[in-house]
Amino acid sequence: MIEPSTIAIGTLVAQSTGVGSASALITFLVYTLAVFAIAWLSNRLRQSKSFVSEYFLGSRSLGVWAFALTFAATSASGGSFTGFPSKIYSHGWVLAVWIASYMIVPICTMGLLAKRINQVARKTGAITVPDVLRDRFNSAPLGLMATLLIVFFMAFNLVAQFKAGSLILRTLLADVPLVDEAANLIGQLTHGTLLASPEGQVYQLCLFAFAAAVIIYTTYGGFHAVVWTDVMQGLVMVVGVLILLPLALIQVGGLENANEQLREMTPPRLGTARVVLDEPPTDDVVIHSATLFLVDRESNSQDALPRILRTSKTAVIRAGTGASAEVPVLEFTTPAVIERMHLALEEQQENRVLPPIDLDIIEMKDYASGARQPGVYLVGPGPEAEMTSGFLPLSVAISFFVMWAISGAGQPSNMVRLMAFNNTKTLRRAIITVSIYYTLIYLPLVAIFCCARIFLPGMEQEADRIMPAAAVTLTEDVGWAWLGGLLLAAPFAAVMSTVDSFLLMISSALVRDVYQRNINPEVSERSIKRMSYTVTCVVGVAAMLGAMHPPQFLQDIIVYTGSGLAACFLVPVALALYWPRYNAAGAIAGMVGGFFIHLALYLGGWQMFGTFRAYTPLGVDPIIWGLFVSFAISILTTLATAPPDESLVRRYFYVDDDAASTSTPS
Amino acid sequence: MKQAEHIPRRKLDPLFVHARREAIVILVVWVICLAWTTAVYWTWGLGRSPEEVEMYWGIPDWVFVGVVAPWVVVDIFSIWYCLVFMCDDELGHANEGLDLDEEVAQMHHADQDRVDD
Repeated sequence: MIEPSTIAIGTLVAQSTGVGSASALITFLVYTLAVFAIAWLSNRLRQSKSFVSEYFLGSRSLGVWAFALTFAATSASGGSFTGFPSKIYSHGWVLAVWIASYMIVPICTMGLLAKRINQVARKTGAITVPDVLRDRFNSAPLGLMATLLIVFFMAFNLVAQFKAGSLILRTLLADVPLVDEAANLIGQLTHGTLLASPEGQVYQLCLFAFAAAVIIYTTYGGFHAVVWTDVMQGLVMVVGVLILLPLALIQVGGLENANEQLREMTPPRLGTARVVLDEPPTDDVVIHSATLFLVDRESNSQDALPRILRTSKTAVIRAGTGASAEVPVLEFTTPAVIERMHLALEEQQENRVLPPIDLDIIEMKDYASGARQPGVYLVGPGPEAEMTSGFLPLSVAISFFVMWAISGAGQPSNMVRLMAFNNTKTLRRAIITVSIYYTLIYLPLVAIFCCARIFLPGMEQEADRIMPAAAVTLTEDVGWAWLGGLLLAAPFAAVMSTVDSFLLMISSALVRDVYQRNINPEVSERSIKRMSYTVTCVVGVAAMLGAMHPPQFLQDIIVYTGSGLAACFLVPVALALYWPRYNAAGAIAGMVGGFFIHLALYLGGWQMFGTFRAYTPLGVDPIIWGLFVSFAISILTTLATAPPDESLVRRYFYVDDDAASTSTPS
Repeated sequence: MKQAEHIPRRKLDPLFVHARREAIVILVVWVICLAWTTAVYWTWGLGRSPEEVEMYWGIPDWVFVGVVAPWVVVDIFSIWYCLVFMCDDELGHANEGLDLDEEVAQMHHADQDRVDD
């Protein structure tokens, strides 16, 4: 196989060859060892404590750092380090508004429910969110319904997160020879079995490695392992961002300079093409992604600038054929970028060792919104390839502001953490810590990846790789290649910290909520221990198998499950904690109402658009409709049915006069 | 069975009272933030000519005023809220296993009733 000396240039070399390197592999191995060490220590710590409370809730003993960082790391899923940078890169500064709700997320998600849910859970020793609801209303059907909803949503989400973790790992380890060899071996061993994945051998290997690491440390260490690995992962994330920020600013000559260049920048044209050779080669020819091509101007073009296109995927011209299969290509449209690319392209022409390769363009399209408009990356609604309304019209901006804060508060995985801190002093300090943490993560990310448009232009069609590509480029340019490996751990840490929490959530739902609460309340400690280990492991393996053959519309499924959980749980839990008159009928109706209206909008969207996309009446996201309906039905049903039992109200909302003096202003 | 409106005069749980007051303040602040950020975006950032955009500390003016500045203000508010406004409350003893014990007791009671019948 011949690999021509491609004309991928300068910093783009990192993209063309994948970001993989020995440092990434070493980072991953060291990181995994550290995670195992934490799990081992967590298991040792657990020996003398009550098993169920300790395994699923850490004995409600979390201090400030553990509570703050596990909360922050679980909320900041893989999306924060793959999807979010990709969106910033693709749409510009408008992402600051898209994520702006995170200014208020810590105080909303922790402050709204934390004190009460922690107190209510302690009153009866509730371990899970279904436990809390079941005990609060003394209603087994409500507890069981909450459990089923959690398992339903989380199972889909877990599969999606496993795939996301594997894709990140594949990006990090791409082109590491040892990884390729191991992938080939695994591919041969699993060929024709259930374990063979249509996603490819490297994906398969990365999925095995990712799943093995998460399943082992979560199963063995339980909640404490999840929390303390979250702490480490949270630190890796924030340190990674804080190192990237100055490097990015130095690279572009300061933020103001970067914005002056963005002021001239126009969205690229996207399309597909075949790479062609004049003479069919005698051996396969590989043309890496990020290869630049100078092509003829269109006949009706008045443009004086050369026309430069960039491939976004590796193209292979098979022996005896003259052309590759179709690959996505991108055409630069910003004059300054075209000049840079042209200069570099001319310098590299001399290194070419094969007859000239050329592009046979099949189709090129302008962006639906923002095409040929300089500076669209500096203002709203931001350029958008498919939708003429732009990336962030006002209704969508409002929906996201509501969604991040409210949806975060309604996630059962967050609620469980709110049941695990040791006292309110910890809560107060943790809210401050998470507030500062998010400020240090999200605002710098916006600046970094707006700068990335300058130093890594042309990655729109592979924007999910912008984070590792930027990390490698920035560290290599200053001669700190070793640091690239550390930075690459940040997105991996983010997705791992989410997956472990979801895994434990499903396990606790099955072991505690289904078996112990509904089937055998008198099960022995020893049996429940064995069952917890087994179920956690089995759920992890099942999710891994699901991710071998992942469903379509993965990202949409993640969004659907996250918003669906909030639509089902936020209103019932909030009213259960704050409204004494609320009853089981109201909670069940609110939960069912939120679930079905949210589902109906997605099914309606499927019917209308023929794909997994929600119908949004008045431009408002399904989560907001779900919350509204859940709230309205909860209130109406509660008022139309009998008040709750007096003993329950007394237990959860009242104290004896002599016991009422237990609080102090801070 | 007695109903909720017949509860004898007792004192509301102070933690419940504090948490409710604190939650109301949070909701008010959230609404203010939503209104401020989306209003600035709507009037100053959406559909504006890029030529008009000025830079404050290297950040587009509408992003600085609509997102960065309120973000810093909310951080300062959060620090004040947590250190000054929020009360320290006693969360109470964790009655580990109480719910299960109650269920087992109810179950045995029901079994006993059946045997007696």
